[in-house]
Amino acid sequence: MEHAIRVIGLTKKFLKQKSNAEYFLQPFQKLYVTALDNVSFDLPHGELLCLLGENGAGKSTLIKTLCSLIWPTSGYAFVNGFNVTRNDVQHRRQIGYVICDERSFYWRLSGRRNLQFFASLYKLPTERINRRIDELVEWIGLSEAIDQRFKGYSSGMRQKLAIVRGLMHDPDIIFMDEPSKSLDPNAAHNLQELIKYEIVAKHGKTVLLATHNLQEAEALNHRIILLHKGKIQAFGTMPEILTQSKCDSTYVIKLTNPHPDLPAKIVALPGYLRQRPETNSILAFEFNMMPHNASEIIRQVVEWDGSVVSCYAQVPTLQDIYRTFIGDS
Amino acid sequence: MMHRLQIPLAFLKKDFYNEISYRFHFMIQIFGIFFATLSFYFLSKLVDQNASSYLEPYGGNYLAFVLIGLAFSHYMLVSLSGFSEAIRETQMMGIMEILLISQARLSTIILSSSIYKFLFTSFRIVVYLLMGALIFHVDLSNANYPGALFILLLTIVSLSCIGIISASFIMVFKKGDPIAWGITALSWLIGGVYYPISVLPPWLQKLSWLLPVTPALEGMRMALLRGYSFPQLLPTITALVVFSFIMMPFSLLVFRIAVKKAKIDGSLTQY
Repeated sequence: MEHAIRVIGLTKKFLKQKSNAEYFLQPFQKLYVTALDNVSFDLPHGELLCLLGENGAGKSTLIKTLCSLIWPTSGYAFVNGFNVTRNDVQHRRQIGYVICDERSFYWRLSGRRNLQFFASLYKLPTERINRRIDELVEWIGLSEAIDQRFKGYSSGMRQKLAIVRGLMHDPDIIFMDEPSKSLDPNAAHNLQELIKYEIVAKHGKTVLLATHNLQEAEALNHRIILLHKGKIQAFGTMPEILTQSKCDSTYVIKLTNPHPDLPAKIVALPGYLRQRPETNSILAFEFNMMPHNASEIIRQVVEWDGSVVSCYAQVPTLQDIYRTFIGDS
Repeated sequence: MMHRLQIPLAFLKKDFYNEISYRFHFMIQIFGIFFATLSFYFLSKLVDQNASSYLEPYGGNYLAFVLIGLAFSHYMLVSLSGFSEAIRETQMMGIMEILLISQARLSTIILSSSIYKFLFTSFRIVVYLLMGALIFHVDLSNANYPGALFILLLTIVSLSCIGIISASFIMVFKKGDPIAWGITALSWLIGGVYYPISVLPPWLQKLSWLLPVTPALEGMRMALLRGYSFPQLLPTITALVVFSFIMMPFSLLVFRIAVKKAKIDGSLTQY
């Protein structure tokens, strides 16, 4: 089997909920909202792919379609070779689904009873279920709380339990929909480490993770899909996306107490891009990264009696790349 | 065998633990059984003297008549509304997607989701009948228990078919369940739950036989109160078997279509 996930021209249109005015003016016309627009990509086994996009970009729709929970309007999607529209039991056996929805557990039951119930739906033998619960909760650090009622869990513990539930039947491919949504920065960091080093690197699972958190996507540092209004804007590793974005590295030069005429002179220098906001006494200018550019600029500024505080190369962050594709939305 | 029962048993266990976690509610339910029986005992003292002609075909005892009606109506409610309530509950709890992504078959999920309610109702019914027989001396000495049980099982299956179609409505329209509501309301009114249908005007009596509840209830009372044998119960049994054979695959098909519609609309977890 070549790919864990193969998506070809996947499109999903939802029937739009009409406003009262639309009902009155267009009573028989059906209005659609395009959630996924001709999405295509392949994901090899044992890889981690971040679906990155703002709210409403189509991330959850894509994950749910791959889980056979939403039917596509057109196109094809194969998970481990299974066509998702066939809703094959074998397909369901091979996927795990981790959602951030805290509602998706029985709050009056303990974590253990919840896991026992959900694992039973995969027809696992009872001994194996109990063994697997012990293994996984130990591994994820939830052993002490596993016999407490779910309603007493913190957001981080609930998220951990959701991850354990998704892994109970040892699926090959795991879909995670904003797994760190309600976690504090420390817990989110631990979760990212867990996904990156344990689930993917150590256990060789394929993970498709949806997030709107740029830092998370950057921290996971694997393949990324930038999704905007249902369309793939960019797909690849960080360096590949950087190339696609044409978002170059730049030099930032900071000056202190410059002569009033100096900014106008600097703006006229070759490679000048923009002035960056700084404190009152310091001015910062950004230049294209060209060969010998920095030394030439510094020499010129010093010649104009400018006092250079610092000069450094600015490598574009994922946020910069994101902005070039999607804007500030 | 146990492997096949694993998922229904998991639902049963989960629902039991969930239910007993609400201790106060659980206790109230148990007390409710005693209070209902006691209320009908006092009511029967009033009714028995004035309604003997109507009750004669059933042995003449109103408490015996109404206890069976009451017991039966609980099964009717669970069969008609239990599935749709379970579907709505799983939608509201955000668990529907987790269930549908698992290896459990759709039919197993929907049937297992009400198994606890059926068992608790059975417990309630046994208590009703025991209280009736031991405390209030309801005469069940001639009862054909296997016949009554067989009719009860067939009735549960046939009413569950309607219940599954109701659940399909909930899957698509989220709230508002016209089928269960209509059949339950009509059954209370003309199905012979609390009073014999002979008290109804003749045209309503004819109409009442169109409901599956009326022949089922009649058959059950005849089996328990008059000790009717299997051959005597055959017309009721045949009607219920035919109804179930036709309706069960149809109702599961309707539910499958409803799930597909919800998947197309992307509304599985909406409520």
